[in-house]
Amino acid sequence: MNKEAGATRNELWRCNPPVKVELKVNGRAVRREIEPRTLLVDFLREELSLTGTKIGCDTSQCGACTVLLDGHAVKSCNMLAVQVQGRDVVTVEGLKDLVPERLREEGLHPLQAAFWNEHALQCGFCTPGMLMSASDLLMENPDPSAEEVRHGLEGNLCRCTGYEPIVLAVQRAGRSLRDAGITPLGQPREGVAE
Amino acid sequence: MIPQEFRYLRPASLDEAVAALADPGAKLLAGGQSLLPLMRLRFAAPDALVDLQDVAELKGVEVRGEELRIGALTRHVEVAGLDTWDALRGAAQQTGDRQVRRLGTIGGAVSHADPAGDLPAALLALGARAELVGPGGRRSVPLEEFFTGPLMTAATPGEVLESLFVPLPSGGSGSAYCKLAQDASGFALVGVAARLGLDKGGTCRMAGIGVTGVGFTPYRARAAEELLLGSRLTDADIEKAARAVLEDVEVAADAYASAEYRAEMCRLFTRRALAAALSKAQI
Repeated sequence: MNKEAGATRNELWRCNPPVKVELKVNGRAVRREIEPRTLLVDFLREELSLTGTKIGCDTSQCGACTVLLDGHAVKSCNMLAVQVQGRDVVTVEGLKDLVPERLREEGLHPLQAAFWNEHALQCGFCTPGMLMSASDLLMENPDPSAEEVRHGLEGNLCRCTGYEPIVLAVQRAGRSLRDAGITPLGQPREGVAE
Repeated sequence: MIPQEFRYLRPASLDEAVAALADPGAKLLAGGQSLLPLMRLRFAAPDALVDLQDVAELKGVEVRGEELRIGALTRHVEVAGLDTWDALRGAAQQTGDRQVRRLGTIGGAVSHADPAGDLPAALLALGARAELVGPGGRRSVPLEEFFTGPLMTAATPGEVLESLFVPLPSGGSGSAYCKLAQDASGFALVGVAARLGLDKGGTCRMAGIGVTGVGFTPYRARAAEELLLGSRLTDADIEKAARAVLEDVEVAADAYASAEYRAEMCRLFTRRALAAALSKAQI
């Protein structure tokens, strides 16, 4: 059925009424009326102007659109905004706010600081997604081996092929977080000191 | 690309979900990790999308009698952490990537019926069955009869896959899933799951082999299993079974692997999966 042929915008809205979504993004409650087909990544970028989350491949393979949903890494291009009704989303813009200010380096989250210090980016397009996946990985495994980092970031592609420093950066961030006794989400973590 | 427009429905119960499916243009949304990419390519363009996330009947994992019941909405990351068959956990761990495993569900993976899906191979080897609920009530379908073609299943358009039932491991049993992944996509060029059960004397009393990535659907290699039953599972027995694993199967060929290469790898990974299952059964 071709609904678009000859239909005005208003008619389209009538056959697909907008739905209300309410969710938390970077700690802030947001409320919008959107079309059901709005992808979470477009909601973040177009509705909320949070353009740190990237659209890379548009086929759900590259991971540039990765955000945290209730603390876990998910691909925001592979979810509808309506699916996350009532839930908690963190984008790269909100990453630094997860840790207390005293643990930030130049205002950055330890993961961001580690990527900076290890030069773990060239063009930087994959970086937001890498950071979010790395956060999920370090939640699960605070002290990953290089092999575990590579496996843990298999859902994120870097086309500058700078994987080596990315692996080092994730391990470095792991060390900083262990030293600080916190998880990447800023919760206290016991008993992971070396 | 943005999906074609659809009505979004969010049923609160299984009955409501079944009622929503009465619309022939409706499609079920579980984790969305297979369906949403298809919708974005507009290969799938449902009139209505039935989001199952609030349907409690599709959730939870528990032992029921001699079986483990896994609710269809159980996510890959949860299956990977279950205290159950190694083949099942291994297949879940090797499905997609970190982000996909956070959202993708076992029921979604089985219903999507990808010819190279990992979980179907494990569930076939374990002799699992699916329970479906539709307007006519509930029915049970052995996984072996579930996959009818590429992306096609025995579920009728009005039915919801509610749970998967997997027999519990017993003493002297072991399983493994061994996969040759395509480097870029991670999809199985060949994936073989094996389950073996030994009696006290070390004779094979139970054998299951599930294969994915090779034929037009994931399948159970009955002919190879038959050769193992009653044997002592020597290297020669395993070799014989590996040679029979492709019986009556038309081996697929694509840009990544010729039919000859796939067939050879299928025999190799069958040997590996059987050897790994055997070593676990002997512990």
